[in-house]
Amino acid sequence: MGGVTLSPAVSKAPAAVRRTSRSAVRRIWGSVLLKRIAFYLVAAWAAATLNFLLPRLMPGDPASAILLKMSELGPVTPDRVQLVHRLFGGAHSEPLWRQYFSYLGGLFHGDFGLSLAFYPTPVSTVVRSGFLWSVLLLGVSTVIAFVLGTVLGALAGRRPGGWLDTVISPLSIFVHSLPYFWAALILVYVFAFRLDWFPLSGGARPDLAPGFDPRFISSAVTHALLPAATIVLTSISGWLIHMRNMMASVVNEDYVLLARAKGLSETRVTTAYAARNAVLPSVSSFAVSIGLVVGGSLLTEMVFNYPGLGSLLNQAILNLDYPLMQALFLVISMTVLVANFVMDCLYVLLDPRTREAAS
Amino acid sequence: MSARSRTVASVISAMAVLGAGTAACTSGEEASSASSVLTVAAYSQPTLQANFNPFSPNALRGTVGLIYEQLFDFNTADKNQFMPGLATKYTWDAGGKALHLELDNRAKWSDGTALSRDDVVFTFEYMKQHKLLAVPLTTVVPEGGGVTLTFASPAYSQIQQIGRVAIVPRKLWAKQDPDTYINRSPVGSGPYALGRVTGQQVSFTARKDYWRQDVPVKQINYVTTSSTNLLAQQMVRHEVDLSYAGIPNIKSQYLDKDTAHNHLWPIRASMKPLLLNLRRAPFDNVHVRKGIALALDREKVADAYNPGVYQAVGPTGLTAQSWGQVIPDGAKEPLAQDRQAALKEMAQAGYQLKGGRLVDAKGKQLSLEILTVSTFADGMAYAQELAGQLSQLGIKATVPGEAPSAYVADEGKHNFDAVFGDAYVFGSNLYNFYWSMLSPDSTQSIIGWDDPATKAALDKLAKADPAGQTEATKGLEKIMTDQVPTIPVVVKGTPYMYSTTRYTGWPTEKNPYTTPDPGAVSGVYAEKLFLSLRPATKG
Repeated sequence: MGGVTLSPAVSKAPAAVRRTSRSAVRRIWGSVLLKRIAFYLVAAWAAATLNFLLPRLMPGDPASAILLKMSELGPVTPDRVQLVHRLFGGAHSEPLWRQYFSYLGGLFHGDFGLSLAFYPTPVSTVVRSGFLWSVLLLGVSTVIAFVLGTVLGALAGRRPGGWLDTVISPLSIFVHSLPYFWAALILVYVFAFRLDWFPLSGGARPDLAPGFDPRFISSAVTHALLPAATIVLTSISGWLIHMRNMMASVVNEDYVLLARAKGLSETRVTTAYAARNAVLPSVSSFAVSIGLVVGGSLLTEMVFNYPGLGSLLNQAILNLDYPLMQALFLVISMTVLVANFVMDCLYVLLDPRTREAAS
Repeated sequence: MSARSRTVASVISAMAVLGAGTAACTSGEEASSASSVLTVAAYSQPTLQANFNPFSPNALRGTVGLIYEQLFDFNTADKNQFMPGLATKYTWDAGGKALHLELDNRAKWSDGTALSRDDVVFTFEYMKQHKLLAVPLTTVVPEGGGVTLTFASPAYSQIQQIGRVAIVPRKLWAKQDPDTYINRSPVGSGPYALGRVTGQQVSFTARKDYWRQDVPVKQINYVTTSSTNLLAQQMVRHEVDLSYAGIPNIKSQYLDKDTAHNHLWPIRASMKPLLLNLRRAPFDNVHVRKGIALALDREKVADAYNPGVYQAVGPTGLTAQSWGQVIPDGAKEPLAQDRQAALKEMAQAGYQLKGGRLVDAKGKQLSLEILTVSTFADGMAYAQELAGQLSQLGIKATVPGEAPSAYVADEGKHNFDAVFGDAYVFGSNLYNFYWSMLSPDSTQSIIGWDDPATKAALDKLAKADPAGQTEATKGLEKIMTDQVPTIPVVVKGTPYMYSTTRYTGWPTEKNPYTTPDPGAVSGVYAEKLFLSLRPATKG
């Protein structure tokens, strides 16, 4: 969004100015980039270390957790108990520092070990199986919610107190206060169970293997509509309120008044002057939420029995599957870092003030 | 600009038509396939990973029973009758140190080759080599139309575990590590071949060349369901034919929605005692334990959640239906709630009732925390009912709920007063039932009961031949009633729920030809069940 409003301004600048500003940007870019990279490397190391430590602070051991799960489903015979203890009981017999170094070593090779909950499937296979589900469902619905919310917020905030604002703003505050879990259950009950417009659960028809097969894709889309709708419905209001409030304060700024006084068209004033400035804080929080997309949405995936990363994380925690938890947390924190890094870089382009500050 | 928007519009409308077309044809297919496919809610987790290694604890359900076959089993839902699998009969010899298994010589692998004695010998040797066998096996040799196993000590009590060994073909398994092999394309002898694994479902397709008989159910799907709420909706819509999960209010949520087709038969395969930590005072005092045992109204506990599924149990921990001939008279019925008798026992332990509180000589009230997993709605309901009844006696009884991992950790460290979570499986031989509950060597025995007399009684039962088992069980039953190491409360019921919309011929309480406990999604039980179903006639 920001990029779209920006490009006409840059392209209309005279050629000479463009050249000098470009070399300046390059110079500043270099030092800013180096500092940023160093910062992100340290953050990545800290995240990796926390990923290692946090799951180990949880009480219990994997063997007993697996047994508890088995006993919940049905009686467990003593020989089964012995087998499980033999396979998973010794998972933490090594000293912590040695586990840490073999963990770090594994990270460099992209080797996260074998999952315990899905033993002996490698963690990387398990993570891969849920990755696309979450990224597509949450990625698409997060972008939709962000775009819709921001546009509606900008429209509502353009004239605080106008008819659009009086309708949309209280409504979105109401929607915002609905607990997600409850809203999702109600939507499932009404639209899937009662009306039968959408499938009850799952990522696609369960007898179709994931792949580039039109039947699978159309089934996956049908299954994704309701979960995506619940995510959009419940998260749109956050973006909307945020943008509306920013917009409402920006429209009274002097430079917006000046733009109006110059006789610029209302659309141009709104998009290129007011909205472009109001959207900046939203963009940075958008980076965070794009990063979190990779973690899946635990609640959505629980309600809809969706085969994404949120479901995997839930299974990993229930089974005390340390290798899987580590990998998932790592993927999540690394994506947040990368998304932030990209947004940081974009910010320099979006907001001239950051460039000034750097030089 | 307007030309472009027109193109966009036409593309969108074309896509919409296309989408509607595919949607229409998918739903048509769904309807036609749904009529013959049997769907089992086999997993309470949302996603699966392929694993068809019958020796792995994470083997997907159906691996054993549908793909690989076991030797034999016993019908624990009825009177423990022998149920043949790959073996048609067994004979003991040498005082329980030798066992001959007669094999069904018709058995064939799905690749067309015969399942030979050699494969059975291999499987036992393989399991012994990889420490997968809980039986003290010394040798296994082919003999006559089967194999003969020999043991270091009498193995009478292990007969069910021996029967549940799933036989694998030597030619494919000799080089595999049972701990890490995933076995994506299994070759078994069972009635089904692996269809497709899609992450949320495993489908099994009937083998046309199955050696035993025609397979009536052509496709079985084992599906995942992450919540009981979702499962209830799927069952009401007849999207699921068979399930075992404890949904709340089964009667109103499931049975009443379609009384003609929806059925429930609670399978009672294990016993749930109130486990007191005997390492802690005053629970090491037998009179305190007896007092608590007498203070309980077991019927009320059993009905605290889904009435009719659990059942009150007598002081030996055994059900009169299955074990009537083993239980001595006077111990068959559940212990009745008797407040006066309970207070008398408490008085012998030094606890007096003062102002409605049971206090010791120093005036300290007897307190008891029943540790429970807070995420199990049923477990919490039962524990709270127990605590309520004990409070009425004057005990300060509470139910601290914990996350599953914390519960497991506390249980492992013996950091609890009491738990009401663990259940002990009856099986076909009571040795394992009592051993797992009372032997200090058992990981499931968490109470800290270490008693020479119990050990001697367990040893006696382990070595008893089938004719002497009833007599040998008496010693353990006496320890249960006199010493009360654990307080039997209820028989745990598994809600086996099935729908007759697509298939009929399910095992019922009146015709319990197989045991449909959760084992029924695998093993001889499952095979027998699925081979006995018939398509429902449309009325």
